[in-house]
Amino acid sequence: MGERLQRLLDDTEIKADEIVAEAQRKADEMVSNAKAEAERRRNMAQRGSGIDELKREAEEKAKIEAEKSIEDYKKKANVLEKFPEDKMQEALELVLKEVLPE
Amino acid sequence: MELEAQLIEKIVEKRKIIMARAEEKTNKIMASAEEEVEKIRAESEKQIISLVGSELRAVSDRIVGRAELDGRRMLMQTRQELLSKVFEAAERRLEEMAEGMNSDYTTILMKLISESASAIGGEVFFVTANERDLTYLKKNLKTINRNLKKDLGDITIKLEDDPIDITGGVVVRNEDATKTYYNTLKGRLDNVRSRIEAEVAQILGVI
Repeated sequence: MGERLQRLLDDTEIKADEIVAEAQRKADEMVSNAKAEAERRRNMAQRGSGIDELKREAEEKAKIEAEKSIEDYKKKANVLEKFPEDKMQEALELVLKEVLPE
Repeated sequence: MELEAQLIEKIVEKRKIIMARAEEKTNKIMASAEEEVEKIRAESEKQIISLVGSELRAVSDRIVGRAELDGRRMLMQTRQELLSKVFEAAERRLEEMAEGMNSDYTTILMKLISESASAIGGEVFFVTANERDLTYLKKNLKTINRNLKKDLGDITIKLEDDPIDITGGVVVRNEDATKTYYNTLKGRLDNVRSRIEAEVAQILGVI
């Protein structure tokens, strides 16, 4: 009985080690793939190719920034349009005073 | 029998602990790998951007720059529209004043003639205006000449036969037509606009 249980424990230890080893293998592969992909993209960039995606990303980012900028200008224009009526009268009086001879 | 059950339970517990430890280790390994991958990607992107940065900046500058330009143009257009509102209102007010032919306007006509004659210099001046104003001037020519003599000395105002198509104001020339002074209300308004537009914009708060 004791022996069988000990074997069960040993098997569990082995299985656990295998799980960890498999994870380590996957992790190493992930890092290695990432390094290879980074190297590949760097090389392509050096040759001036393969940057279409980066360009697209830059374009998308710029479009968002551009929209924000236009929105800001629209807001400013709206603020300008809401000047008070007395300012209009003041401006009108000034113009008439300047146009008409003293 | 009970001892045996206790032993099995203990082994099951131990097994659980071993597997839990393994899972914990696995999670740590994967998390660390993901972190490492992320670092590699970020570093690579940084390097690529430094390699092709100018090209990417050009893409961005083109799009954002155009939007900035459009925005500024829109703002400028709004500003111009607001300024135009003021000057259009002024033009309407001047038209109403001229059409009303009240004493204020006839006084203004006198001042415009006087100002024109002073600017041209000389003794004899020919004045024209729109039909309505010219009719008024014809009716009151003697008085006008008398009043202007008080200010400008020995001068003579004569009237052209043909009216001109203007809202109000006068066009004055010397006798030999070598000098002409366009003192129309519209002309004065246009001059004023180019001179004080910034001041008007300041009043409206649109600078």
